This record gives sequence, C-alpha cells and structure tokens, in this order.
Amino acid sequence: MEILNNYKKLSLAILLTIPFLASAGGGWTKQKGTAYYKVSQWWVVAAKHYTGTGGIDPNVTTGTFNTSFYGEYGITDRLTGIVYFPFFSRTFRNEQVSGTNGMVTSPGEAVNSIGDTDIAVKYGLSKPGSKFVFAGTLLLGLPLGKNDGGSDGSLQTGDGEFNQMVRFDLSRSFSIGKINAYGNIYTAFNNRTNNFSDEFRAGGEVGASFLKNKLWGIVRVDMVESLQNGLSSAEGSSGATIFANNTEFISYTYEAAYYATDKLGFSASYGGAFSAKLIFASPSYSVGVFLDLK
Amino acid sequence: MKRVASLIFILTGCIGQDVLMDEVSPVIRITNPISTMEVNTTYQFEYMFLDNVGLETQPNSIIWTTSDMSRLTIDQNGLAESLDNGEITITVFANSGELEADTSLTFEITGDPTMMADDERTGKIMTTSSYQLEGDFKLFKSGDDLIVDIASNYVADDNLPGLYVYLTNNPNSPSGGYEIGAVQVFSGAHKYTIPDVGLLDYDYLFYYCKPFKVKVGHGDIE
Repeated sequence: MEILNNYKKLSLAILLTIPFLASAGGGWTKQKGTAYYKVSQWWVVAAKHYTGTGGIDPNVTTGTFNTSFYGEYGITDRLTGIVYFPFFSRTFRNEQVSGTNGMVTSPGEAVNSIGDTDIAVKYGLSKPGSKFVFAGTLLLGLPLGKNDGGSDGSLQTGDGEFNQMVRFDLSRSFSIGKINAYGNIYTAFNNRTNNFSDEFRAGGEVGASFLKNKLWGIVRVDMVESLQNGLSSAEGSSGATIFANNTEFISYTYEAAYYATDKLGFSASYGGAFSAKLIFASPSYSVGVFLDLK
Repeated sequence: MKRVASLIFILTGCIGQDVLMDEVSPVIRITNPISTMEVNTTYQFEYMFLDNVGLETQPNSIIWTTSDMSRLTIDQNGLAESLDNGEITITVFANSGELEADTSLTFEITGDPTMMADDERTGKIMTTSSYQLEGDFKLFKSGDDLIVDIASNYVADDNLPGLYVYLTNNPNSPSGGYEIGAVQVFSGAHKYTIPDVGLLDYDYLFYYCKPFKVKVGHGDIE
C-alpha cells in the first residue's frame, strides 16, 4: 500500500508539469479524508514553435508562467475531488528591436491574470485489492484565463473555451528487486467548445523509488490528437501556443520528487516533445512544493 | 532581499529583447518615371529615398545628372527640360550620412506627348517559413487606388494564426510598411484596393504573422 500512496503523490507532481493535462493519480483514488496539496510554478519560454506541418519556425520570444495550487481530497475511498487553480498566470512576449539601428520595431507586452482552471472528480472502478486498479475521471476545464490580452488580442493566459474531459486510467504497482515501482496508462476524450476541435488523448508513465522511497523518478509520455472538427487557427486566431486550437503532440516528461519529511516534499520536472504541431517548440519546466496529508 | 528578487523573477518572467535582422541597401527610386518625353517640354521628376531599414527619409544631398546636356537638362530639384529628340538617361544620387544610393532612368525624347512608364507591376509570393504560401500577383492603378490582384494559383496555410499582408520596402520587416489587413482568403484569386498609394511606393508584398511577430513570406514587386 505504501507504494500506492507514493504513486499518488508523485503522479500529481507529474501532471502539474503539463497543466493543461492536469488530471491526477492514475487508477488510484485517495482514501477518505486524506489530501494532497501542491503549490508549483510551471513555465515555458519559446523563440520557436511547431507549425501545422510539424516543422519548426521562429517566433518572437514568448513565455507563459503559471503559479498554481493543486489539491486532491478523498471524499470517499472511491471518490476523489481534484482542483487545479493557476492563481497567477503571466504571458509575455519580448520587444523586437532593429539589428540595424536599434529602434524598437515591436514593443514587448505582457498580460497577467488567473489562468484556466480544472475541477475534476475521479471514481475508482476496480475492486479493492485488485492487482490492476482502474478509475474514471470527469474533468471540467473552466476558462477563467484571459484569451485576448495584449495590443492585438493574441496574448493569452487561457483558451477561452469550456471543455469537458472523460479519462480512464489503468495502473499497477510492482517491484524490481528492492525498487518499488508502478506503471500507468490512460486514455481520454476532451470535448471542447467555442469552435475548438475535440481531442483524443492517451499516455503512460512509469515511476520508481529510491533512497527508501524518499526520492521518486518518473518518466511520462503524453499524446494529444486533434479531431480537427473545429475552426483552423487562422479562423479562430488562437495562435500556436499552449492555448492553440488543433494542437497535437507526443511529449515526454522527466520528473523527480523528494520527500523531505513524511508530509512535505519538493519536485522538479523537465518536459519536451518528440513531435508536435501548433505549439511552442521549447522545453517546459516546473518546480513545486507539496504537502501530503495522509 | 535577493531571495525575494529571485522569487519575483520566477513568478513574473521579465520582458526581454529580440533583435530583428532588418538591414537592407539604401534605395532611391524615381516615383513618376516616364517612357517617352515630348521634345521642348518640361517634366518634374519626383523621388523617394529609403534608408538601410527601408524607411523613407530625406537625404542630406541630392544630385540629378543627365547623359547628354544638349538633349536634356535637369536642375537639382529634378525639373527636366527636353531640347532634342533621342534616347536620354538621367541619374539621381542621394546621400544621407554614410547611406548612399543612386538610380537611373532611360527614356526617349520624341515629338509625341509625354508617356508614363509601365502602369503595372508583377510578382510571385513565396514562403520563407514552414507554412505554405505561394501565388502570383500584379499591382496596377485604378484612379487614385492601387489594386493588388492576387492570382488564382494563390494558396496560404490557414493553420497560421494572425496572418497579415503588408506593402513594405523591407523584405524582413513590416516596419514603415502599409498594413493592408488581415488575410481572409487562403486560396484562389482575390483583390485588395488600397487608396492613395502609388504604384512605385513599395517593393514587397509582405506576409507577416502578427501574434508571433515573424515573417511568413513575401513577393518581390518587379
């Protein structure tokens, strides 16, 4: 059971490295009355992006920073409530200056607001004691961020659409010698509004513990496939950002989380993409501190 | 205090500076060229001087010369007087600090009324990015309006957000250019009507992604 508890803690850390994929815990649910909280900073700064054909083109250096609260609470042993709230989200782009005469050709801009927020409930579908645990999650993406900031309306801290995602996770813990580990796979369907295309999502992760379960290392792969049933980026003017329409990617994340005490820990992550369309082509990073109230 | 500053930096992400490589050769352009000039008449030539980023600027000095003063004279304000029939070449040289440019115009002096040079320019749009963008176009005057006539072989990628089209004098930057507007047509023939812009005022049809502040492609206006 220890490894399952650890898994739950760490999986949350992973998910926060890609906030728009936030949904937690794999097939495991929190036990009634237990909670997990995390405050973290996630950011990406990019001077290039993946185009609609998967090529890479330059862009003015643009950054998005999300400072967020993540909470997970066991309502019952089978039902877990989850919230991801980026209480401070900032998107900026650099000013451009002429390399010839130093004059500003395009001023820098930034927009600050709260960001798009997720609330979710997860229900455990497998029998207690099963080797494999299975859970379904319903996630609602609330468009609390700003989708029309800056002088031309293209600076965004949110996508401006209300989405509903259904996700299923299948997980199992195991040991390799003295190393505790787990694996998880998931699939999801994300129904998006406001002429955004719906999405099929899938992914998996493996994690292993070291230093008597104080340190966890995790590798995760996520895939988002657009169903291309919304407006194009040009029609929707949603840009090729983390908030773009018809974004697709296969990404990886490396995560490390360290328990300083039984309840308090720190985490850091690095994420990138194997291939992608219409999204920044630069790594993302996160750092966070979490509190695990068993 | 340093910790607080570091925390603020992490939380806010400061706006930095990107450098746009936008240097071009200075250009002087005769904006009302003629193909023939009636003998024993005068004609006022006009010019436009563009600096090394394609912005119009006033030169420190301007020098007009003619290839044959017995056939045509021209003063330093560009006022020409035709004296005899035959081919003639005028040259204008401009200087602004270290920036220099010159251009020449050859035309025929005849007994017929003065004729303006070609009233149409053409070009081919080509992508300079990973996004598809191609097609032929021509520019011509219709009264005071300039018409940008995009041909039926035009195609632009509609995955690109915030695509705008400009007329510019710099193939790398829209600065100082004329913003025609947001691209609404992504394939096939279409036209833009632009008031009070001359046929020779700009040298590039320039496509630009505004949200990303990056060039997508352009067409030289020949």
